[in-house]
Formats: sequence, C-alpha cells, structure tokens
Amino acid sequence: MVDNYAIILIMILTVLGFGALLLSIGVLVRPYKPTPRKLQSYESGVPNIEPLKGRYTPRFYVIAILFVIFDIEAIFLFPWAVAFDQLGLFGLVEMVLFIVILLIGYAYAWRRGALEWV
Amino acid sequence: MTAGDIVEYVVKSAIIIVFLLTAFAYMTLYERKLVGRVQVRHGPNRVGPGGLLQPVADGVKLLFKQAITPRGVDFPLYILAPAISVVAALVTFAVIPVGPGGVNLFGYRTDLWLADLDVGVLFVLAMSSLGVYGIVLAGYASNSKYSLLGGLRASAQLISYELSLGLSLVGVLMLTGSLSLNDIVNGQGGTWLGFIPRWYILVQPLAFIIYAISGVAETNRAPFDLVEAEQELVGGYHTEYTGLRFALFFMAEYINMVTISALAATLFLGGWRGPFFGGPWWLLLKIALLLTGYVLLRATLPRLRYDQLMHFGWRVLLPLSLLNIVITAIGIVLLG
Amino acid sequence: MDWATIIFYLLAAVAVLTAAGVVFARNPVHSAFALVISFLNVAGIYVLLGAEFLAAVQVIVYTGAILVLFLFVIMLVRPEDLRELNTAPRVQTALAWLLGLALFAELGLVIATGVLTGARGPYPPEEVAAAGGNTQLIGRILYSEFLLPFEVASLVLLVAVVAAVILGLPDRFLTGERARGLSLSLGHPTGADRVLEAERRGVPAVDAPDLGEPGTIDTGRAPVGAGRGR
Repeated sequence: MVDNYAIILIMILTVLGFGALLLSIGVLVRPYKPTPRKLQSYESGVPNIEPLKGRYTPRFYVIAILFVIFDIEAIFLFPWAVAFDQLGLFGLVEMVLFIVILLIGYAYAWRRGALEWV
Repeated sequence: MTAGDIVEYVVKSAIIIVFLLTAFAYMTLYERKLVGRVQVRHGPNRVGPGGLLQPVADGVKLLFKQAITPRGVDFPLYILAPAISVVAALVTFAVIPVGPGGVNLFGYRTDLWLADLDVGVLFVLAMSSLGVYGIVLAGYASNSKYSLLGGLRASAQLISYELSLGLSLVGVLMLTGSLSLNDIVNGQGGTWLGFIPRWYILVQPLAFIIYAISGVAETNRAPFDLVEAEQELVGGYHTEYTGLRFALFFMAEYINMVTISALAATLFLGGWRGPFFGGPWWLLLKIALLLTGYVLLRATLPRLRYDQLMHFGWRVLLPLSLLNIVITAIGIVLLG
Repeated sequence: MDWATIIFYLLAAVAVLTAAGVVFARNPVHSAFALVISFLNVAGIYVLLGAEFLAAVQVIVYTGAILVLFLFVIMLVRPEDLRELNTAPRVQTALAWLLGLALFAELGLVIATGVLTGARGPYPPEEVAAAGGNTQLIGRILYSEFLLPFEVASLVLLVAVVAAVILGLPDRFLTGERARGLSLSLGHPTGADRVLEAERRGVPAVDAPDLGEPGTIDTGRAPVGAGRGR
C-alpha cells in the first residue's frame, strides 16, 4: 500500500526535475536586456503612479470561509458514500439530517446576501 | 521495491509527462484549427504541412523570449508559482488507469497505470486544491494590481466550483463503494441487456452534467474564463510572466483540461473499457471527444459575468449536487 | 534503517524546519506558504502511518481550504499596514518565550519518557484491508458508533456559517448603504472610498478640471500626470 505512495513520490520528483529544467533551460539561449521601463509592472502603457495597495471587497473572505465549511461537509460525505452499502437506510436518514442542518446555514447565508456578488 | 521497479516507475512517469506535453502542444493547435473552422477561417496553416509544426514554432519562440522579472516582485514565490501549477497538473494523472493490469509489453509484464491509490479520488481532489496555490501566489508575488485581482478572482472561482466538483463524485462513489479509480473502472465493466455498457453516466446523468460544468470552471475555460478577461484584467494572474515561465501556466491549463477529461471518462464513461477491444485507445478516444467539447464551448459561448459565475456555482450547482446525492442514496436503498 | 524510516525523518525534518519558518519569516505570505509545506509533510507522515484518508483530509481541508483563507486575508492586508505587528510590549515577548520553552520542555519530557503512548486501536492492518480500506472502515465506524458526535459536528458547522456571515458582512453592508456598499469598485479601491467620503461630506468627489480663463493658454502648468511617475 505504501508502495503506491512511493510511486507517487517518484512521479513528483520526476515532474519537479522536469519543471526545474523548463524554468532554467532558457537561461542558455534567451537574451537579457533590461531597461527601467521594461521592468515596470504593467499599467496599460502609462507610468505607475501609485504603489500596489488598496482595499478589496470582503466578499472574498466570506466566500473563502463558506468554502472551508462546505469543504468539510464534503469530506464527511466521502467515507459515508463508500460505506453506504453497509449503512443502508440508517445511513440515508442520518446523512439527510446532517445535510438539512447545514442547509439551514446555507439558507441563512443566502438570505443575508452572502452569496450575492454585486 | 527494487532498483528495477524504480526504473520502471521513472520510465512510466516520463511516458506520462511526454504524453501530456504532446497532448498539450497539439491541443493548442487543434483548438486554434477548430475555432478557426467554426469562424469560417483556416487557423494556423503556415508552419509545416497544414500548420502541424505550429506548436514547435510556438515553443521555440517562447524559449528565446526574454525572461522579464518586473521590479518589486517577490522572487522566490514568483518563480515557484508556475512550477506549482504545472506540478499539480501533471501529478494528478498518476492515478488514472489507462488500461487493464498485468499486460505483456515487449516481454515485460506490467500494469497500465502508475499508481493505484485506495484514496485515488481524494488524491485527485487534493492535487486540484494544491493547484490553487500556483494562482494565488502568482497573483500575490507579481506586485501588479491586475495579477492580484486576477489571482483573487481565479482562486475564488476555483474554490467555489471545487465544491460542486467534489460533491458530484459522491454518487459514483456510492455505486462503487471504493475511492480507487481502478475499482471505479472495473465497476463499469459488463453490459445491461447485453448491449448497453454499464457506464455510470447512465445512472448518474445529473452528476455527469454537474461534473462537466464544474470541470470547465475549474480549468478556467470559456465560458468561465473570467480569469483571463483581457478587457478588464489584462492577462489575469500571469500578466507579469514572460517566456517559458508564462508557458508553464499555459501548459498547466491545457494539461488540466486533459486530466479533467480523462477523469470524466474514467468516472462516468467507463475509462479504458469499450464495447469491444478494451484498452488505452478507448480512453484516448473519449478524452479527444471531451476536449472537442471544450473547444466547441469556447467557440460558441460568450463569457459569463463574475456575479453570474458565482451565483451559478453557489446557488445552482451546489444544491443540485446535494440533491443528486440524496436521490442516489434513496435509489440505492429502494432498489437494494 | 529501512526506506520508510529515512523518509519519515526527511518528512519530519522538513515539517519542523518549515514550521520554524512560519514563526521567523518576516513576510506573512512567506509564513503562510511555509505552513503549506509543513502541512504537506505532515500529510506524508500520515501516509507512512497507513492513515490514507487522514492524509487526504489534511491536504484537502488544511492546505486546500483553510490556508487559502489565510492567504486571502494576509494578501489583502498589506504587511506595511500592520506596523503594530512587531511592536509587542517587552513583557509579552518575554512571557511568550517563557511559555513556549515550558511547553517545549513538557512535550520533550513526554516523548523522552514515553509516559503517554497512544492506545492501539482494535483494527490491525489486515482488518483494515479486509474492510476494503481505510476510508471504508472510517465510514462504517463514524456513521454507526460515533453517530452523535457526527450530527453535533453539523451543528458546529452551522454555527460557523452564521458567524462567518455575521463577521464577514456587517450590517452596514446590508442596510442603508446597501447598493453603494456592495459595489466598491475592485479596480479602483481607494477611489471608491474617496467617492463615499466626499458624498458623506456633501462635496463633489471629483474636482471639475480647471480649464483656465477662456482664451488664455496656461503654459506654466505641467500637463496632467506629468512628473508623478515613480
């Protein structure tokens, strides 16, 4: 069983080696002629007048938190799904209860506008 | 595990990588050709016969491009980000079975998969959740507002659709009782009534639709390609990347498309099994068909607005995938 | 020493080093990324223990969800805005060191003396394999023997949803200033603030451009935007 993960490890190492090769091989052939203008970050062709700074909508945080919560719910579903043939009706009832409780939270988030994005 | 085994796995890994890179290169050409056809033009046809060498030309050109590192970037993370993207994309393929086990290949007995994990499906989800880091870190490290906004948008989109993607698989898992992709393919062997293949798409049609839509969103493809909405975000999270560094992001996107298609084929369409002569060619055929679907989507559909995208993911797909799970459970209980 | 032991020490060493990196990195994003690597190595250790499902959960939930949330928060609050981060009172710093060392000594003592060893579970590897795997067994036990904790977990998650919505979307976003508060322009975040502030004070947000007296050409003035580049 652990052997399979050793294979994955081999794959990861191979891929890492390959990625490092791709990122570094260009150094041998590509030119490098930096100018101050060229090294500015992109701003539609005009000079940057403000350093990158600012505030962003809190929606991103809310979405991330909701994602964490529903991701945990999804994780609970996986072992339930693979063991379902043994749990049967009992398993169905308990999972419906679980999902319904979470749907209350979902409905609340919906009603409060957490899922709106404008 | 002997030294011989290790050599075998390194060779297999290399084969997978080379296959995925070739698929990536020719997918770009195929996409441009097909979109060209849809728009009544030829697409690339100058380099090589019928434009067949276009991907090579593109690659060489990118290799010779200057690697511009803008001032103010967070260099370690800036250079790690594309590597993370491409590693997450390539490694996912390791658990997909491309054929039956115990095959004689040039007098050498081997299985046509790299690794058969007991938690294969979870491994795929884990890798796709690691892929988010490439995008978040690229957005942060580039020190550019377009990159930051593109990275934020992309990661919010990815995590939103990851939910419905993961939940759409639960129905299949209930039918199989296993997370191993090999078991899932084997569960789809045989036929109903002698001629209908026992593919899960026939018993889980809703799950397949949810998976397909979330898969398109997960790979940031049209009509969900808001990440690269050039009118508002320039290039999104890879605005500040040039040359091969940019190529790695591009590569990750296309390889993810191939992987999502391969997974769709494995989970819902019987994997390498076919009505006759089961083998890797069936998987390839299914992947090719699904990729064609991707390109046709891009050629025909306009891009969604960001609010429409988030609404669709959270208000439509998420409840639907939960509904699918409950329906599947009731069905299994009723039918035994 | 077999391969599993060597790999364990490698994973453990990287996990500890990156955990130290979380504390010592100056840049919070670097801290968070070090934590990602640390968690991945911990997941590797779970795999070595045969706890595959736990390893997958570690990667999907911790690195894939919770740390993305961390990064969202950290990335958007620029480190320059957090000057007070490194200005803790001396007492606090000293106390933190003291408590940290005490905890470290305690943990070291427990490990060195072996007073606390984990109870061996009733499921040896053969039985796990017979059940079809780690995940199947967890499913079977969690949804029969541990039914109540499982359902209580859903209540905890429900509370978390409510808390997230209340903390993340304060009332002012939803009442009087609804439309305006929710349409902060992403591209011009500071601009939108200026507009709101100006409207609150009842002055025009954007000064009308000074075109000068009709018929005169003001050559002394620099063109708009010139000289402001950095």
